[in-house]
Amino acid sequence: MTDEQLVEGCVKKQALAQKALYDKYSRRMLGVCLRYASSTDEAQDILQDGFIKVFDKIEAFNAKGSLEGWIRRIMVNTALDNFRKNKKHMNQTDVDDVKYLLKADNFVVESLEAKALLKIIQTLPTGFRTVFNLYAIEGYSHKEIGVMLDVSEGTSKSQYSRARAYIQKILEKENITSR
Amino acid sequence: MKNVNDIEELFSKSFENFEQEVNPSVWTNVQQAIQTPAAPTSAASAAGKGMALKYVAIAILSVATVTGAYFIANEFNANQNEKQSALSVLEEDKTATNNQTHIAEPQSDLNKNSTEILSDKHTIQTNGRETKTEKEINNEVKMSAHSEKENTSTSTKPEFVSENNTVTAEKNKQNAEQKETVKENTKETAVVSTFEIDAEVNVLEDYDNKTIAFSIENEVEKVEWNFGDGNSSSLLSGLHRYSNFGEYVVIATAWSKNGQKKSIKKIVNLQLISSIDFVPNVITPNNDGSNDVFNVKLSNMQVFHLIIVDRLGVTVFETTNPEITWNGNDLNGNPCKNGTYSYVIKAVGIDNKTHNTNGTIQLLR
Repeated sequence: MTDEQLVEGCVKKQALAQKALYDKYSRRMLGVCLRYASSTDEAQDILQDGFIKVFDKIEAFNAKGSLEGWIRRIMVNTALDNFRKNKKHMNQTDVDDVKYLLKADNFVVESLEAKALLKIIQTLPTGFRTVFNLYAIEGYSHKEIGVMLDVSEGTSKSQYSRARAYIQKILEKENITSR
Repeated sequence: MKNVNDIEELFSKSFENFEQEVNPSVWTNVQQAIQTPAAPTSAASAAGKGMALKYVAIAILSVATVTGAYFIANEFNANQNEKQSALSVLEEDKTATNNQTHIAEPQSDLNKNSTEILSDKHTIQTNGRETKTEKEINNEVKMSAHSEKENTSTSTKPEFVSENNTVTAEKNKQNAEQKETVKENTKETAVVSTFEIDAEVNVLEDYDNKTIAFSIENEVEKVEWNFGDGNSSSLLSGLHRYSNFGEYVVIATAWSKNGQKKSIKKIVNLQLISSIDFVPNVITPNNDGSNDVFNVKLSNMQVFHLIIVDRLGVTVFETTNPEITWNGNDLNGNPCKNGTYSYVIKAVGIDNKTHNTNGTIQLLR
């Protein structure tokens, strides 16, 4: 089925179309959610909430745009909702204050590069991870990220540069990349 | 091998088509959540379409209102959360408008209602255009405000004030009352606004725990950092390395463009902490890549001694090098039997703290 047919079916709440759309995109979207989560369980929770929103709002999808991009934006927004929700429970600890230890031997370079990179991303503190994802992979500007995460543009910039420096160090250590 | 400087490229390429298998329970949950009563019958659907179209129109109308609210909120520096929700609405707005055009075209020759709806749509789209124009004006105003700023910097937030004034002038044509309100607000802002600074100081733990990264995020004319160890700096942001561990008071003093001065104090505590971070309680030396060795994880240790004994008290492994791990073989290199083994760790950290611990390991092949 084409995306158009899938959307049409989903708008009519046809169970078959819904399942087909889910089967087509769920694996790739889990790949997106994993980057924003610290564990697979957390990622699947985001995925679940995200897909419920997708089916809920499928009428609002613009047929001229890419369906995948639209679903992906919903997933990212769901992940950010999750981040903001958890932020409240963190006693407003500034994301900068998070201390963490990265142990080099945790990152055995696997044949699948993305999996190795995911491991690195998931070890980062949530604040770093979110900013890094939004900027480096999703391609948002620091200004946009500032609004999304309710922090200043400068905070986004400094968080990103620090996250990037840590990642770079690990990559060099692990020889995933070389200078 | 790729260039490490292209981290963004490496990550975005690697994750471009990254997929993972999903636990089937996710679909079950999604399905439960989205289950709707019965699907609409075909007879009802024709009437339903008209209704749906109206519904969309109403949704757009309300979105337009919210969009307007967003710009106002933006101008008056409302809290960021509101901005966020307004932003996402904006996104939906685009989608909804396009969608409507899409639906409306085939509808026109089908339904009487459609004329009505189409005209509705027309108003709404005009509405949308108006909002857009306002936005454009806003942008232009911002640009002109920028150049004004350099000449007339009487307030600490000149950009903000002049922007509002010019916008007011534009709105004047439409609504005189509104102008009054905006002006009042502008005055208030000018009085209330004060010079605020915010300094960030972070210890870079993975260097040597003696280096801090400092930065001022605000717009300031001049800044003076006093690191509390006799050193100072006038950089907006940078790194400073202390020669000794300890607690330091960092004071950042900043001056605004019109001579206001503000200081902010941050405490930096540089401590080396040694710890035993992780000791496995099971090993499975079958070369499958997971838990094949007994691997103790330490932080900042200078002395380390590990002994592993079997149930009879016979030493099967001993090392003083934390890098050497136990692979489940005894001292002669013969594989140990499945069962319970005991370990004793004696370690001293760089901070001269002793860490003594013991426990049991389960060996399974």
